[in-house]
Amino acid sequence: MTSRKKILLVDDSSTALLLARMILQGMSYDVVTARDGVEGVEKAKQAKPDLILLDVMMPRMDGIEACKRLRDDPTTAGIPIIMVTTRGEEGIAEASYAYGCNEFVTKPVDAAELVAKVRNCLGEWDAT
Amino acid sequence: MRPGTDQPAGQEPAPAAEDLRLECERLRELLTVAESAISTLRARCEDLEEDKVHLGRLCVASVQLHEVGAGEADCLRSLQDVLVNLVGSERIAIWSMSPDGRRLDLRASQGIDAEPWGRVEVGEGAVGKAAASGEVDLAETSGPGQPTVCIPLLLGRRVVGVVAVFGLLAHRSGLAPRDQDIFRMISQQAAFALHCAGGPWSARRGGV
Repeated sequence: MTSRKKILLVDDSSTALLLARMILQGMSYDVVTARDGVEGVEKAKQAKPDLILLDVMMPRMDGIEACKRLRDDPTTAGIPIIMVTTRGEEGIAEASYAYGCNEFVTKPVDAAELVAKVRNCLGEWDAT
Repeated sequence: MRPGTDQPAGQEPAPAAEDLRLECERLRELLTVAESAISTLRARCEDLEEDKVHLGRLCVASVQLHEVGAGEADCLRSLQDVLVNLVGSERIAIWSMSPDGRRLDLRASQGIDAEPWGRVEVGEGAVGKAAASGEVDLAETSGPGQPTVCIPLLLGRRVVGVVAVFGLLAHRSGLAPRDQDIFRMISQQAAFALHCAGGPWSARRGGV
């Protein structure tokens, strides 16, 4: 029996968290949540998720800074990160990739796109 | 040789070989039918998955709008959060109806110049017309600084306010038919949540 993959959602929007949780739990992933970058980095160290969905605009610590800290810490450096934002500007996407995020999705989140990118980051694609 | 067989030309195939050829043709036809059915089912599954996510979105919106114990400020924040995350707009304004039912007073906004929108007469412009008609107003094209969508907040048939969306995020090409369901939900459930939150939203108005 294989264990369920764990995904950490980091977002200050309860609407975004609820929607992403609903989509991902429907795909049989375990979900843990954090409400800002500081809590997200802490939860990543404790929960050792298989993947992190990181909102860009958050209080206390934004997603880009959180991404940088996760990449700088050897215990979290290898965890795939998908950045999530309402802003599709190139500057933010480029900064996110420069700090080591693996994928990028924009709000409002498209469920099919999110699932495709999650599965891609987790190496779960099959031939069908 | 006969095309597609091991038989030399001009020679009839052995009965067993002919049976096998016919069986093979029959199976090929069945395979074509099965592939078509699989394709139809796959498309249906994708439709159902989209329906499921859409219903989930409506459920999320409803839960957010009825956050337990929320006061007016929390309700307004939740409503804006729903519009940002489920519709895809960061330019929003929310008005409550004045006690005399003649004008709308701005209660919250984000991403717009609020000054010209502080008070809107009922019946005036797209926002005022949505308040007068009680119908969601979708602008096919809206001028700069003008709302794209005006959603009346309805308590039963009584308009208690209006929500306006001033354009979508740059990466959203336009409103989808399913956005209408979110607007209808906001129209009814946000009004109820705000009414429960008290303040100007729960004041009785004459002539309604």
